[in-house]
Amino acid sequence: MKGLFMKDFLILKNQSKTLLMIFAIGIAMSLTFEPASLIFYIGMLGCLLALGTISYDEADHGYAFLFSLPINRKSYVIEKYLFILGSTVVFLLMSLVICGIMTAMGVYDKQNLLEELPSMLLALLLIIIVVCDVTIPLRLKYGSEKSRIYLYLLSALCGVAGFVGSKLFPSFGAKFVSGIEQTPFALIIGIIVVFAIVSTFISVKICEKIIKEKQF
Amino acid sequence: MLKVKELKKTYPGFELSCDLEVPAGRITGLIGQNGAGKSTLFKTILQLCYPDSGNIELFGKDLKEITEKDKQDIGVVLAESQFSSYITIEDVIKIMKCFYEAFDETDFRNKCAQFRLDTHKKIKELSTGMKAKLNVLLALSHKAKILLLDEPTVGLDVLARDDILAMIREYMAEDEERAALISSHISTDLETLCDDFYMIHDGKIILHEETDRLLSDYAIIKVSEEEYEKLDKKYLLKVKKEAFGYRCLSDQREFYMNNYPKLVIERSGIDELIELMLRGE
Repeated sequence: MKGLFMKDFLILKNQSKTLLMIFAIGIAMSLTFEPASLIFYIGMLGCLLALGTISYDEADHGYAFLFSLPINRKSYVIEKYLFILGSTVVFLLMSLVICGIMTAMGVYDKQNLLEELPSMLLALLLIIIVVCDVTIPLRLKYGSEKSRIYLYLLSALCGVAGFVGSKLFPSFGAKFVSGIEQTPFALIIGIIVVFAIVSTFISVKICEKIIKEKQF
Repeated sequence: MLKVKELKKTYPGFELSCDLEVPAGRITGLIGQNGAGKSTLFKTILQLCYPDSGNIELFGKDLKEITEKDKQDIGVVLAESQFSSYITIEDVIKIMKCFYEAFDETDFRNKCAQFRLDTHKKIKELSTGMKAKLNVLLALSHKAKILLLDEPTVGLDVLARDDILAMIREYMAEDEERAALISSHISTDLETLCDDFYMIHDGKIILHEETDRLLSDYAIIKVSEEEYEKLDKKYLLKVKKEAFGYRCLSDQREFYMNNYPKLVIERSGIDELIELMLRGE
């Protein structure tokens, strides 16, 4: 698995121009936007860049050679999740460093940042987990091009479901938000962590099945 | 070292059905046209695709029992598949060090220098010949016990092919226990390299022969229609009608040389053998 981590790290490192651009835009954003936008922007881009390593594996019939190396299919799936989630955490930490610098420079208000940060990070974690747990199986099953179409369809379906839901149950949104506000923060953290673990476990199992059945 | 028994793999419009053995200390060639089933066989041995039935043994183990550690002893070149083209050879060295305990970095770097491979270049920036050399060097870089080389010389000019074949020959000479299965549709590549070879056509092995025997005992007999009528046909493997009469393939050159001294009897190269095996009757 060490070799797989090294491969993905080097693929990511070779996109140094993109990485520099992300941080340049991030720093520019930090001057005009709230910390939430900055953290979300850098965290999501980090996640998407790491997800992109799947496309590099797939390109030019790459899977065939990859699986001829001393790895097994299961360890490929596990490494992919660890690498993508790990990279996202690193990017999030970097965004926090930028936030810290901006706070020290007086651009951000320290008190506000400390109050908002936990819920902000928790929400972002939830979004990233959902994105990874849905996108990775789709990428492995259908490849980069087809999976993009399925993701658009899925997003559209979620949008339509949200719209129909809001028409059928107009007061649900307000009740949901007030319910969250009344729930102790520790319980919310617990629910999100359990959801993240269960969702990722299911997603990993689906991916293992997909990759086990794949023929190259 | 490698045994393939009654292997069957079916795709729409194609069926691979073969038996094959690569003992230790031997270089076995796999010859066939494009689409004959060579790559499918390699991929099945490497578990990149699954057989419908049959059995494959590698290092004396069933393929399902092959571990990641066992895979360290396999050197692989696959036609049209390699490391991501967006990384440099320096990156590949770092990756190989992580994957293979026996990766010999110094030797690999020396060979790269010998073959003028710039290690700071990305793989996509290399020419076809350079990519092929890199792929073979990688397969030979970690003291693999068996080489599975699918079309290692495809798309190369004569000089580049010679370089690659020399590399393989040198590697095999270092340890007599090493084995290799090498495919090519360029038969002359294998004629000088392989101890024996299998000919595959439409997914089936149609011939297995020792290279020495092929070069000494196989013959092409060119005869007129009249001569053909008088010819003893019991040792003829294939016959093809030509403008001058018939071209016949036999694996008993001596017999025809002794009994028909006036006939045109030539040694058969692999190319002519393939042609007659596929087109003769």
